[in-house]
Amino acid sequence: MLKIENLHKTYKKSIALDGFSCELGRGIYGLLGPNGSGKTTMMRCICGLISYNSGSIECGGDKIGYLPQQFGMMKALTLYEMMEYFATLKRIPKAEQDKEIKSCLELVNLSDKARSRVGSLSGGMVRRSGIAQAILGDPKIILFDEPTAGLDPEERMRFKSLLKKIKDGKTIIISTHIVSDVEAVCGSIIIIDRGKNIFTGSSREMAELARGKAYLIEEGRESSLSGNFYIKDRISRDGKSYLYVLSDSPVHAAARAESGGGIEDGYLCALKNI
Amino acid sequence: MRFEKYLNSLIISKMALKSLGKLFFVPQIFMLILAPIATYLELLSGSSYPLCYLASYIILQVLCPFFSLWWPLLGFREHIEGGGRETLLAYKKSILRELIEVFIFYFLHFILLLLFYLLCWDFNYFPYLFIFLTQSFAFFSLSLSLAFLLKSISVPFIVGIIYEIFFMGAKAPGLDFINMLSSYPPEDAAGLFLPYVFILSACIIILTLAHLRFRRL
Repeated sequence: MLKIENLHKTYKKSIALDGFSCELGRGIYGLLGPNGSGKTTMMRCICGLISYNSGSIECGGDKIGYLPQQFGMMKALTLYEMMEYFATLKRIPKAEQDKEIKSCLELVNLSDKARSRVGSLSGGMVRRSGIAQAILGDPKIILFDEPTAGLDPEERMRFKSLLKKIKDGKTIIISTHIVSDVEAVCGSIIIIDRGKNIFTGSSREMAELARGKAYLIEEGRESSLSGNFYIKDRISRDGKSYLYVLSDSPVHAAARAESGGGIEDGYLCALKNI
Repeated sequence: MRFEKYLNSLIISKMALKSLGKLFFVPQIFMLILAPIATYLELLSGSSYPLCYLASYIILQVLCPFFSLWWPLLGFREHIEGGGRETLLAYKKSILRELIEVFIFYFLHFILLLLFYLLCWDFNYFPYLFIFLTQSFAFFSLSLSLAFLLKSISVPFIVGIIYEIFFMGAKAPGLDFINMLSSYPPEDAAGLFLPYVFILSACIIILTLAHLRFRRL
């Protein structure tokens, strides 16, 4: 259980977290938000890496595993030694370390690289080794900050199946700005924007936010749009050029209503207040 | 539980040193091989015994304190400026204990060197052990403090080298206090402990304060 209440964090000139609150039980949570919305700051606050100005974070004394955006270290050590280093930092008893390390490396498909130097691993492998260190020691709360950055499509799929394997009895937060990353695996989604929690719900609930708000209008007719709207895409259909628009007000008769309802549309509606 | 804590700390220090690869051996090469060779060559060249004693003392002054910063800075590089800093800090907020262990490990090497001088040539530098300890700790403490403040290990290295070059011979009146590396052995007890007690105390305080900065990302 992780409870965050009214969290405020300001840097010298900017507000990173502005009264962020949420309550997370066991399960996988996707933390979505544009760049600079406060995702990483929140992760760092949970880990105790940075202090916050006010508010509270309660994690009930659960151990935390963390993968930051940037991970790369100790190139002269072998992967196994690096994991041993983390196991010691996490105070995993010596007698259990070997079993724990082997099982984590197997989960991220790096068992055969255990004796390779970290410096000789590819970027994707280093990322996976970062995932392995985060799950080492069976922490009850795991924070992944942009975990799929630098992973190829096959590795992304493997990461998603890894999450399904380890999710039982854990609170896992995946911070990303890639909507498709969270759709398949996250039971709940939190959208953070300008340091505020603007949406918490399931992916279906998020998709619902866009229902009836998606339109296709011919290019050049944007002037007819009113209220809050967002031009998401340009589409060619039947030899004509259209704009894919999300709008909270009905669009003129010439527009064709689209079904909408994708979670990406829902995300944009929440973000643009549509 | 307490024993396990100490053991964990020792393992972390060991792994940090292991992460240095071949660079780990540099202080040992200088301290345990090159310094005795330099003394041996000085003796071979026909220098008198007291002159050789003094020359070796100066060699110890120049070489050894500087190498007190080698293992801590390079071994804990990831904690200070590396790509793994954020991850490491998430699991361990303080590395002060490990740094002190590495310093003790370094100083044991130094004592070994002094023992070697005593046994081979009957050069007894043990009366100046406190001076060597203070000088080494000053280099160790100030370089780490600088590294913590700047989150960089290259600046302390450069500062250390510049200090060695410019101040090790500073004997001008009024400048003595700058020269931690008192090139010549002190003549009395006051010279042996003062101002080294103050330098040592100041360095402990500075390191402790700078370490507070290290704990923040």
